[in-house]
Amino acid sequence: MAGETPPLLEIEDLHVNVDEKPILRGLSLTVRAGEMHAIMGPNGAGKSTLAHFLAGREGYTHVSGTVRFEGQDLLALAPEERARAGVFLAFQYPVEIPGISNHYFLRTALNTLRRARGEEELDAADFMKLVREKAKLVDLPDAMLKRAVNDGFSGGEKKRNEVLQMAILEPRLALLDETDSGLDIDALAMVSRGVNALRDAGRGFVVITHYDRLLSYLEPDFVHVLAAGRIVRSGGRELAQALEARGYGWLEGSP
Amino acid sequence: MSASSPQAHRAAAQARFDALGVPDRALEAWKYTSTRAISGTSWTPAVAGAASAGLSVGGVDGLDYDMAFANTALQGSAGRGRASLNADSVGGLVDLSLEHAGLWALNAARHEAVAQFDVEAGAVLPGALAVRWHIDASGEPTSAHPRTVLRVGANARVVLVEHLTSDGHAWQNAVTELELGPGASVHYVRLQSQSAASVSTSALFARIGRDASLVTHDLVCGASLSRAEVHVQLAEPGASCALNGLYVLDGTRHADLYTRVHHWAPHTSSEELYKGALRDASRGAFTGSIVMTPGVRGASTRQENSNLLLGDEAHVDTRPQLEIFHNDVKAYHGATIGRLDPAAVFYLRSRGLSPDAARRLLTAAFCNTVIDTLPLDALRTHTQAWLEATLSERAAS
Amino acid sequence: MAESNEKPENAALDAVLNREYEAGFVTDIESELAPKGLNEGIIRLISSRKGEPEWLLDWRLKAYARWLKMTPPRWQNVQFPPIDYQDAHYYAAPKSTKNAPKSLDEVDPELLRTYEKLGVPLHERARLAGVAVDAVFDSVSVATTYRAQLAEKGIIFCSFSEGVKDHPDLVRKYLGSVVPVNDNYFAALNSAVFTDGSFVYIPPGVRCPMELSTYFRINAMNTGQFERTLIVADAGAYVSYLEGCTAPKRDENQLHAAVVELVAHDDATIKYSTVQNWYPGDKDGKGGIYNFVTKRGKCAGRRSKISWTQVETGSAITWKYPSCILLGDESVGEFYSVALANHRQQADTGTKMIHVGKNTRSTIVSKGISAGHGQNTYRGQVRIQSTAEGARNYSQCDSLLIGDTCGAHTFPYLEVGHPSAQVEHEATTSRISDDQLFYCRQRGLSMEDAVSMIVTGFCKQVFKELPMEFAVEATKLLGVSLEGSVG
Repeated sequence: MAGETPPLLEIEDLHVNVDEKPILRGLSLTVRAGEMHAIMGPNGAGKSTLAHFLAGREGYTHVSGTVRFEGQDLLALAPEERARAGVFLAFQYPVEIPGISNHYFLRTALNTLRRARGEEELDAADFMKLVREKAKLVDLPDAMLKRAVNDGFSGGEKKRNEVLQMAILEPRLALLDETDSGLDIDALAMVSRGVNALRDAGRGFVVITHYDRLLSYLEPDFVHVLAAGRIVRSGGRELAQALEARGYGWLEGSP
Repeated sequence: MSASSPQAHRAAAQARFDALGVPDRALEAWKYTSTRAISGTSWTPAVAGAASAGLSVGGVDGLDYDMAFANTALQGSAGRGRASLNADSVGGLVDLSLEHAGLWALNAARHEAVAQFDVEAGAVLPGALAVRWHIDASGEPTSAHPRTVLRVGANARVVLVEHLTSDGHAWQNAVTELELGPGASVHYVRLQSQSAASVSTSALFARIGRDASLVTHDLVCGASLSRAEVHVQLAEPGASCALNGLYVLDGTRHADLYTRVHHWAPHTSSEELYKGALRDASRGAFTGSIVMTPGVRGASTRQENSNLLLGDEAHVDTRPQLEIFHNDVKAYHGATIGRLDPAAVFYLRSRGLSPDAARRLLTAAFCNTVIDTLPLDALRTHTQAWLEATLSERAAS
Repeated sequence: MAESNEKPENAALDAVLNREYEAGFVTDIESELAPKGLNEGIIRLISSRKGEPEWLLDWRLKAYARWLKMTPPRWQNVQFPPIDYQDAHYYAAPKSTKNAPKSLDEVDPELLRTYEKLGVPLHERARLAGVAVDAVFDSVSVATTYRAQLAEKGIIFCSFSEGVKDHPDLVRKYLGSVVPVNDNYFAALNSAVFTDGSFVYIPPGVRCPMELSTYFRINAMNTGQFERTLIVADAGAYVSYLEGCTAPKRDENQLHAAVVELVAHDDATIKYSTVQNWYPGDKDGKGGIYNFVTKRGKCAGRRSKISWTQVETGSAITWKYPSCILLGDESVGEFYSVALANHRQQADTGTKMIHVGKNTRSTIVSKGISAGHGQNTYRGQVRIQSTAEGARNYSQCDSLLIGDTCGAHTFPYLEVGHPSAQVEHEATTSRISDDQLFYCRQRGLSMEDAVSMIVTGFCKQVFKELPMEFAVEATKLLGVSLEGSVG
């Protein structure tokens, strides 16, 4: 229809192999700006594959199907180009980078993004102001951010750091890859608060999780079940609760 | 004599030795060890005779030897192996073209008897294959060249122990070859317990096949001059090795431990733990050379050499070496040289131990990490007893 | 082995390859070249052109005689075609400067323009940054700045040739006292034909108020550069010295065999930093500099300290082992190094720490980066003599491999002869992890920037020891040198 903006993310019949093995087998999904979609599924279903493939990681073979981000072919872009276009992946296992402070890393990433958007770069002072403000969201003190990227951070702290980065880089599409794994109740609450604070009419979320717990904090708009490489069921929150109660076996045999 | 006859091989090896001579300090591989004790002595080749009496003492209690050689003569049966006159060698393991191959060439030329073991695929041998090499040199300086060959079939598991002993002034120049088939698992122990005046030079060559693993223990418990080499080829994917060594020296003894592990294939791994405790004016040298050729993705290596200097004139030279030609590898090596932690010594003294007892205990604890991983209770007991006796020998240390 | 990878993102990178060596140009000034070849006559020529006293000519001739009896060393890990020592010029003076200029005004403007291209605008930079620059153009010192200011404190900072003329007793006292003539083949050669370098003397109790620095340039074809530097810090003195080099693009290999001697007396500290950017040869390894340097520091006094910090990204072949002899009780030796071998470079570098006095300490941090077909070898020796009671050493040698075709080799030699010594050595070899690279790219950094960032993080421990302005230059240098290397 003329004049209508394309969806933020449109995946059509995606087939992806890993080491010759088909993992995603005809996955389709549409995410519009302002929406939060949760994707659940048994292990090995392809959840992490989806997140990493969308972010542009090597090691995945695109067999067929399309992925459009705001109307353009996402798969034609290199990982950093996808990032600059506004795609953000919150990693399940964020790496450590010795010798580079969190501050320095973030400022470099932010300024690269700003440059790509034709905006002016932030100098050190303005950046520090921005970081301090956003860091309150996830309660990460300056002292920790002075350290090397994720250096000595606990699992929970690393996830909070991912949310901080998201807050600073302000992506249009945020992919959260099992952000809740390894978190206790308090950390989960804090991370969820941070994510909720970033919800926006212009931003879309794909939250990948194994448990319903996170969803009780986030309250997504849509819940999908990924099994055997495709979305087999879609619904609202009650779908997640049913899975939690009955397990994934309940879905076996579903089309 | 035909080109491939044992005699021809020996002749060629002798020619090679004549060209190279006994290795000396001019060679990088022998940088820290003088071989004057070898080249400056007139050696009489061991001759089978009535030397079997020496075998009745000094063995490891609880270890049944498959073969025992007294002055190169096999005593009794060959147990689960066979004794030959000529080495039916594993092809290509010993590279005589190297500049420091002198002693290996000499063994290839002069070995008197060979202990051969073939373990068939799938076999799991109880206990251990054990060979004892004993030389009675109480008359004049006597030399011998023991040789052992072990072939292990696919997925077989075996322990092999070589025990070197002597009386008087002996020189044993040993070569051992191991070939591990796919999935095989071998634990090799070289227990060198020669007399105080003797010289020991030994070299182990191993080729490890797909997914096979080799653990070695090199225990330097005797001899005034000891050179113990281990050369491993991780030839196929999944091959792995763990090399251990222990040298506890006193007086003016000198021990040189030399290892070289070559990662030829992807997903191979190696580990090394060599420990030394040096008292009085003893000298130790350790070389741990790891080579990774191009193409070895996913290979990893971890090597540690720790040394305790316990004597005023003790000296240790250690050189862990990494030669890496491929980027998808993980390598770590560490070497430490130091003395007993004074805080630990004080702690034990505050619990009533004398300073000497405290130091002995801490030194034993230091050595135990290597002894604890020996296979067989009999070996652990024997080595621990030896360690205790060695450390208690003199009150001052 | 494929030269580079077929992966699509790297094809794009490969296109951004090999930024032309910035300083690759040649000055037009005619140089007076001595005829090619090395013999007594040439040495006498050099000595007389410099107006040297008899004792120094004698010293040179003795060194030459020694050199003739020595054979060039062979190293396992470094390959290069044999050098024809007769096929080079050993002396080149720019024609336009018959007598050394007394001030910058007397310097040939063409020469000054050369310095500007090299980033050494003597008047501006020297004034703003407060750095005194002793610029060596080929074999003759041309200008020295700020001598007056330094002279007020009794600090001597001049060219080696001037040192010989103005302070002959000092030079004679220390020359060859740390690196004896027969120490090695290249030291002997240098002792015979050294052309010029720096001479620094800091009197007792004086802290040199500025960083002293020097620039080099090998210009005329086939001129071996034989720098000779001597730095002496008297009791309680402090000096920080920077050495940074560039060289023009040439097709013939050029030999650089320098000797640097440092002497620190009681409570004195000498900090010597090098950011080296010699021409590395092109992608195929053709035409780079051979950098064979003997650098040694003698911690002669109690509580003296000598620190070597270096960032090496140039040279076709690098062979250098800055060393410390820890004679004085409680003296300290330090070595911080980043060495990059890319394309077809070969580096065999490291350090020697010789502990002789009591309670001495040494620290070694070596970071090697290998990319392309580069081969990087660390060779370090820690020797604890039997007199070195209470000696402490800590060494850390890390290697980073980038790509499938490079090599990193680590050969430490730890030789310990005192029971109270504590020596600890650790080495790791790894690659830049795919996870780290992807993480950076997912945050918007290009592959190049990601590599650059990760490598800078890897080198941080060393960069932090460099004086500020050098640290910035070093970071940039590393980035440029690594372009196109990721696989």
